[in-house]
Amino acid sequence: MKAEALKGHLDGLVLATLEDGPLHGYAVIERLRGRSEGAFDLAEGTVYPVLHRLEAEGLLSSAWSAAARRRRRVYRLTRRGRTALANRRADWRRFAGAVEAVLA
Amino acid sequence: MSYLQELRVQLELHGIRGVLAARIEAELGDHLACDPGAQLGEPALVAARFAEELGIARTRRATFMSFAALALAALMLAVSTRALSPAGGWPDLGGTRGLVVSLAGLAIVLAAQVAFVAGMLGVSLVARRSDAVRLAQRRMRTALVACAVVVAGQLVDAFALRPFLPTWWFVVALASVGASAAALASSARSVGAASRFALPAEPAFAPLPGALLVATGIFAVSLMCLGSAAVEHSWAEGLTRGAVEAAASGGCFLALGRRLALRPTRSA
Repeated sequence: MKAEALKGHLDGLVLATLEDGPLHGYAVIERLRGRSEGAFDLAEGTVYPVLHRLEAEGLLSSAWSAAARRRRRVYRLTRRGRTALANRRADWRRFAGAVEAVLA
Repeated sequence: MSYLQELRVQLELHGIRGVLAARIEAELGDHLACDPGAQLGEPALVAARFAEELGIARTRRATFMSFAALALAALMLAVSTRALSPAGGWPDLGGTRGLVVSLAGLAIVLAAQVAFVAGMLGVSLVARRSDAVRLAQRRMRTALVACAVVVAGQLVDAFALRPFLPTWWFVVALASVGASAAALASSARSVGAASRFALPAEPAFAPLPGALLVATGIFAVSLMCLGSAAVEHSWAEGLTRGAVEAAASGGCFLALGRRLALRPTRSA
């Protein structure tokens, strides 16, 4: 699936990967790839700008961690981020249901 | 040149420097340490995405912050003006001092309207769309400069009226000016920081409909005429101020219309 098809959905996907707990950037991308079974054809470096923007919008927070002798930026969902994720999920279900109804 | 070195150059070219650039390098460096064969994307593309995403997010925040600063400045202006009444009201001023106060008053009234219009246009733009970051920044810069003129006018008034009013009024007026100036300076810094990111070209904006602009102008001039006539109990004064408002509105539209995307650009 081309990155173009993900436009408008990447924010929700990134928020969803962080729902179960904090992750660093590489792990976010790995989880995204794992859950989608490799369906998303993303330039990995373009996920980081999204993480930064979501943090600037207050949906994520981040901090350095020194696990495994390496400094890593670890991201976690904020309360606002959880609300935004719930809203996006509801929007997606409505949208997907409507598309399915037309295509089926 | 390694990927990270090339990325550093591209980040610099896209206006991303200092702590932020170091953080991005560290994060992508960690990514490459986890997976040396990772496909991060062209450094220029990654840097452009960072500039775009951060430019949008920071412009939104700076715009809302600036709008709050404009609102605070309006409140402070109302406080110091309202405090004139218990302080004994406007003194009768003549000569140079009277002229200075009149000119400061005129500047306050006109610049406040520019700040209000530019600020409303800026905040409504970022609330509706994310592909007009440069225009939003331009509108907010215009609003902040106009509001700074208002605050400067308040400061002139405070010193010009000081000999005729109690000390407590002067303290209130100075405190109002200080609070407004601090909020405006902080917002200007925020808009400046958001402006340093290199962003892609923006779409051309259709100017606002002529009928809407004319209706807004007629409303502003009528309000000035009727309001002044009512306050001063003089139709002549109302008409005079209405004429000044009409001339100033037209002048501001000609001077700032293109900058605020209210009228077509020369190439359009």
